[in-house]
Amino acid sequence: MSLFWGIVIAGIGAYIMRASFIVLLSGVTFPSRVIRVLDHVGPAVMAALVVTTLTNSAGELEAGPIEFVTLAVMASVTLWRNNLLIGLCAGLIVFFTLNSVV
Amino acid sequence: MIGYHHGMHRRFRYRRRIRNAPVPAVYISYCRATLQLFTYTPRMKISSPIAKAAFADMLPLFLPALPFALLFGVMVVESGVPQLLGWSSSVIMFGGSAQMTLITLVGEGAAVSATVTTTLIVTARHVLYSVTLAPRFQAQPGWFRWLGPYVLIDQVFALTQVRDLSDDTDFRQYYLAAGFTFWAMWVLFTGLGIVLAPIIPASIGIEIAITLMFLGLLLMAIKRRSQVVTALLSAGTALWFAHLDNQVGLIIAVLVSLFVATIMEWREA
Repeated sequence: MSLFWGIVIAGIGAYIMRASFIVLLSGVTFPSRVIRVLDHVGPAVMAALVVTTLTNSAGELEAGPIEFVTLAVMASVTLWRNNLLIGLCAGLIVFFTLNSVV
Repeated sequence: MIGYHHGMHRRFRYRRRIRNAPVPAVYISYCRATLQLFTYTPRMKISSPIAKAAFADMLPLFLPALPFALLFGVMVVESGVPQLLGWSSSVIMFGGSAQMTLITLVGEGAAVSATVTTTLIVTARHVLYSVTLAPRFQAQPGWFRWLGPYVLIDQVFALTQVRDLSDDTDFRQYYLAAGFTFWAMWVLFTGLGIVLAPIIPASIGIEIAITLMFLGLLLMAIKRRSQVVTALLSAGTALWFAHLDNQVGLIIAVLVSLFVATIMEWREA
């Protein structure tokens, strides 16, 4: 298989996965209980993504104290201001300041 | 003094003569076209407030992805893959982690078939997004059910979970504006990464930004107390299974926490 066709198959595969249930279940009625369960997918995925981005390929946490302080600042500022951009900026400022000081 | 006045008078009379003279029609249309060029404002649906909100929401989500877009370009150049072919994956696949897995493995000399299989495993979490958004897409027109999934990446999914968009037209405009803003930026900056690869440092040192972004999205997506339980459980399980290859731990974590969520919701009802 040439690389071009590899990319095309990977692209079609990604599209099929993304479209699968949206297209297949377009006529199915969802009970409200199922929708309430589906409300948990977002928080679960994002929590898992936070952990995945902090671990290396061996499965060890790669974050030190500086990273945890940064995450705590980010979380507090985001909740306080209810604004992702402000939280992100605050987190990055703390991260770079701590890295240059320590 | 008299001479000066005399001159002014002459010049004035001269101008009057020009003003009264008939102006060629070509000249009028030229002026009109120039005027329109400077005063033209595009009147597309894109300028709707909901689409503007989507742009504003997407900005803090694209900023953390920007170093990864540039890094992808560097990876393409270093792997020895033809540059245009590497860049085409941004349009054909449109998924950062899947594209990076593909280019890394091909660069290491892995067989393309094995590479594609691994890439598809990394992409598998998008099935969960598809299930979750299926009820939301039911009231939408058919074309949107086929076009929307093309841009259904982590960030777009996260925004649909954070923003309450009860109106279907608002949802569609928001989704398309957010999705294709990210798409255009990703295609542009992965291309720039390839072009600027020789001057881009190997590590930009702000990888933490993507973690911060997901944490922020997580906090804004939580609306019920039971979701805090699910999130903590998912984080713990993801850490437990973090040693598994191809982000399989992530899918296990989400499935385990969905199982617990189902029990919790059934008990509550």
